[in-house]
Amino acid sequence: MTMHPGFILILVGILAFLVPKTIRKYVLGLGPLAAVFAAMNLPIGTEASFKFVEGITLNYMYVDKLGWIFTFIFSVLALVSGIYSAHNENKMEALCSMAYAGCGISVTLCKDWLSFIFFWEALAVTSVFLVWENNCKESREAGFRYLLVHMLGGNLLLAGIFLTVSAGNWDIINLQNGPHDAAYWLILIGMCVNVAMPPVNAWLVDAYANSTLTGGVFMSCMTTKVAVYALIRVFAGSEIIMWGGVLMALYGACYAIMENDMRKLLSHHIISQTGFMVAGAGIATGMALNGATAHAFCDILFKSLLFMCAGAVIYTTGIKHINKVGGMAKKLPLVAICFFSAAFSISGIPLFNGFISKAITVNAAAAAGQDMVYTLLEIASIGTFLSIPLKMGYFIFLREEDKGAEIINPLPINMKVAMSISAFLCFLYGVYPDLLYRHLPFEMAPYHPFAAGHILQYAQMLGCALIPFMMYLGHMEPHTAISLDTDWFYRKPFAWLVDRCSALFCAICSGLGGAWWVIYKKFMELSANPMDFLDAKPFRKRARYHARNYRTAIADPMMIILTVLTCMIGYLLTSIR
Amino acid sequence: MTQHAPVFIVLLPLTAALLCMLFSRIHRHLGGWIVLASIAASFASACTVLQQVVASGGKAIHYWMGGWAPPIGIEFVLDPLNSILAVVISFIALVSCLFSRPFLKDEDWIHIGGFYTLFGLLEVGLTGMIITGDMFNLYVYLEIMSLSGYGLIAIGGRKSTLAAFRYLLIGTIGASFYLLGVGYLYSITGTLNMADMAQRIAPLITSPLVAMAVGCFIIGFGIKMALFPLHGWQPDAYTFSHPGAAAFIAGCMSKAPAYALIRFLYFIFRVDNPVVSHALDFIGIMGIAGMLIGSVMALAQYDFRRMLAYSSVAQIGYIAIGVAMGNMYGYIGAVLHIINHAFMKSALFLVIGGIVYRFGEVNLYRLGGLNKKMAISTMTVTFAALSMIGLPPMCGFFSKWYLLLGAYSGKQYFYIVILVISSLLNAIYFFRIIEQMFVEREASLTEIRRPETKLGLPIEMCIPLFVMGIGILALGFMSSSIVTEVIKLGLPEVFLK
Amino acid sequence: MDMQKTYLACAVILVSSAAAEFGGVHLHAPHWWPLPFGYNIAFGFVGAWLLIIVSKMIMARLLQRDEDYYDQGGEDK
Repeated sequence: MTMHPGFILILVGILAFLVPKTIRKYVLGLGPLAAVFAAMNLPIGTEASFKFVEGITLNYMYVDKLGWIFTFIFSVLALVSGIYSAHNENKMEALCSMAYAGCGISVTLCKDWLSFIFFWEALAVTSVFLVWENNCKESREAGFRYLLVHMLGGNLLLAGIFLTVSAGNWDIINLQNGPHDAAYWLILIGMCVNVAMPPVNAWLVDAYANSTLTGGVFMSCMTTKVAVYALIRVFAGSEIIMWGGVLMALYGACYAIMENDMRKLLSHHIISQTGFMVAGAGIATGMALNGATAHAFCDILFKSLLFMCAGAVIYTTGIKHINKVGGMAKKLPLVAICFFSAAFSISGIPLFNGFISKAITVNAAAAAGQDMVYTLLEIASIGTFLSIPLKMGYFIFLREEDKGAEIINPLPINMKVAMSISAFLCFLYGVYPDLLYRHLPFEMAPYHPFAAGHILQYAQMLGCALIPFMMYLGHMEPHTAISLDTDWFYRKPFAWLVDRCSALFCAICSGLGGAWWVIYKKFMELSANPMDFLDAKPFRKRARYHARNYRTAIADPMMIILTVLTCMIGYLLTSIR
Repeated sequence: MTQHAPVFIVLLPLTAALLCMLFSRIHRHLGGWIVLASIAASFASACTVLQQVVASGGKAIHYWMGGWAPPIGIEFVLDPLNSILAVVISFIALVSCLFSRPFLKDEDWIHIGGFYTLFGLLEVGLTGMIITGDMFNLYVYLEIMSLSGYGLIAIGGRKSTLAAFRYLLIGTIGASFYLLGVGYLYSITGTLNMADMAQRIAPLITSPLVAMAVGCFIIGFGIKMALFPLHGWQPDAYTFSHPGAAAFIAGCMSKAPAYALIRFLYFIFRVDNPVVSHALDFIGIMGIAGMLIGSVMALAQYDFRRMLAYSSVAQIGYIAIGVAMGNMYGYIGAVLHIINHAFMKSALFLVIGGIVYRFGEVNLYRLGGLNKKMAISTMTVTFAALSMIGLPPMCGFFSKWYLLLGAYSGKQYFYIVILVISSLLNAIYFFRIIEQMFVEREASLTEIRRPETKLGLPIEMCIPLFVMGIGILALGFMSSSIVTEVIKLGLPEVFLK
Repeated sequence: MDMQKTYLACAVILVSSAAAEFGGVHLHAPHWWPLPFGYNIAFGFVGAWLLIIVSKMIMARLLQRDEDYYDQGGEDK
């Protein structure tokens, strides 16, 4: 029977929220197995829909090859990360991480725009809690910024979808060949926010580095890859995407070389690797799209593993900065092995799964005639090699001095299990690539990764890249500093502007309130005793009202009486005439 | 017996007052009891007369003194307007007389005797003024009222002598103007009977002499009822009068001249001629000025009694503009306000009298938290204050409502504006009292007389307070019946045409 | 990590790959123009060197700040 793996995961999340602590870890660890099982048994071509209001039908499940492969890898990710986070007692996090994964899968299975945007927004909402559950000031602020950026992107996307849907196009189709109207640009920008294309990329580093350790594993692979899937579906062939992807790849690589915080470095790398996929989507030949898909598949595996390893180091030592740890290979051997398998994967070293996927994309660029793209992506690969296996590997694990880093918390068994599974999968796909290739959705000429020339090329390139690293070894150690990114624009000047505007409005409000208060008080004083006001003598001290002042000699009332009498009689006499 | 009820209203208290000194010589309290009993009898007679008048459908009762026929003989004419006011005045006199007894417990026979003599005479003067049908007779009663009033004020304390003297001077001028007016009219018509005068003066109404006479009457009555700007004597007089008699003086002494003004302008001179309508304009202006200035001055006061005195100036202004509107609703409003204000102001003066009796404190800012100590006074003063402000179902609301109707139907919208402003000002100083009573912290007041009963005041003071408080509420509920069954029966003929 | 061992490993890789290239192993050349000898070696060396210079020398000088650069008493966006 066909079940929607995304819904299964959401149910697992709700279940994890409700059950007591002791059962929760089993739910988290084993629940996603059901989703993996469902995904594996989901035949291509399954469809399901749901009649919403007024003749709107939501096609929430439509399985084609592209959707299936993403669904499968997301379920596997959920399983591995679920095992990794089984030790976590936070039930909100359990709910949100599983729901997040479930929503990600649901997005990939959608056929119509409405369910698409629903699950897309749900992604942002559930993931922000993974940041907020970290419970410190920076995380709260980072989560808030994350939410704001995603709301902006989500709303732009929603606006574009609304325009499309009101024009009558309910299903998700490739818009690249259609008119480049407002809907096109709005949807493009909305998706680019989620895929973290510069200049809207700063949220990724900010949020992922400040999320919880276990939440970070989920987050590292979901939002951006879902956005990549969306770009492959909707904007395949756009040149903007292609060059944007190249920019992402280089941008991430350069920042990663500078970065000190472990998870920030890996986040920059997410940008970099996603750049490869996005560039592939932009090139849009069969080979390029397959390359993007395959790279997404493999990237999920090794990126989550890298985050798991970094999380493990942070969990055990409590230190997140590269220049404050060292010599972890002796203290955490399992972590070191897993790390290096992921690091080699990401660099594209043969026998690991990065090799089989990255090259497809890069060669597709060359095959399509985009030589500049090819060259730049190769440089980005070198950058990847520099920062992860070399920089992180050396400074965290391999160097002799340990900078006083001690193991504070022992590594829980579930984390070890999760990392091992992931490392094994990386290796498995690396040596037996056909497992992946048979599921690739697009048409292309058969690709053989283990050609001798190919291996030789990489050996030469990466081997020589090692030399400058060692030459500048001293300099390669990161400084204790942060790098400014495009979020500077909204964190400094824009924030200042908003602050000044609110201060202005507050000043106006309190000024008006103060003015009214003064008017009110003066009115109260006047109406309480008008005689005080009338009795006050200028240029001298005010005399309080006293009855004495008004008690004049008896002659005064008499004169008043006579005056009034005269006036009255005169008035009456005039009335006669 | 009941056919002599009209004269008993005046005769019984007169006799008792004149004999009071003699009875007090026998036993010092006897005179007071006799006067109290006579006022009670006067009240009973007034009620009888009212009932007779209402039962006959508004036909006036004429009582010829000594059997002599008018217009030579003096008669008492009791129509619905008179009788209801007679009832009100005698009731307040009764209540006030009972209230004053504890103040005089420790005095010697001369003081008690003298007080009750003056009190009885005051009651005679007021009720006589109201029920008489002869103009000169009215002057007699006016003077009886004035002289006994001067005396009662002078008994009050240190500063009261000067106040009474000032009142004497100004009041005499007022009475003289009245007499002057009567003289002018007598000279051109040859009659002193009011009904007769009404017929004879009609063709002569536009002569200059009558215009002068109208002016003299208005000034005379204006002085007596403390209409602005002729009120200079009033604040001191009300403030410093004897606390036992203050309720009666402040509540009723201004009402009889107001009634007399209505009687002269509406029934004798008729309001449909140019002289009187111009005179009404003048009265209206004085009334407006009184309302505003009286309220503003009242805001400034810290002596409770003086504040009430200025408030009276404002309330008399209401009556004046009711008179000045010249239409039926204004007339009804003025008459209803005479009745209501008598009750309200007397009730308030009873309250301050009780406070003076027990604590000797008149500064209203030092009366904080009094609701705990003096429950009945609090109830009465709350009812009276709410009524003065004009909140239904208290009686004050209804008289103001008729005044508003009168202003609207006479298209004199300016009066509406002034009424509203004046009500707001009223609200300020009366809510001050309520705030003091209920919200403020308890003031430290030293008792100058220990309370004998649990109620904080002697029983002779509690009963009047209670009755007046309930009376204000009851008057409110009965307002419509008073208007339809009594006042409307006695409308002047100008409105019925 | 022993520097010397690493340099030795590098040298081994380079020499063996150069030999393989001479030996006719067809280098993966997706371009339409033939690659000069040692293209990939140069590419790897220059590429890495360029990246390090750009990142560390130029970009880091411009963009790096103290860790508490953004902390200003609750300033947030």
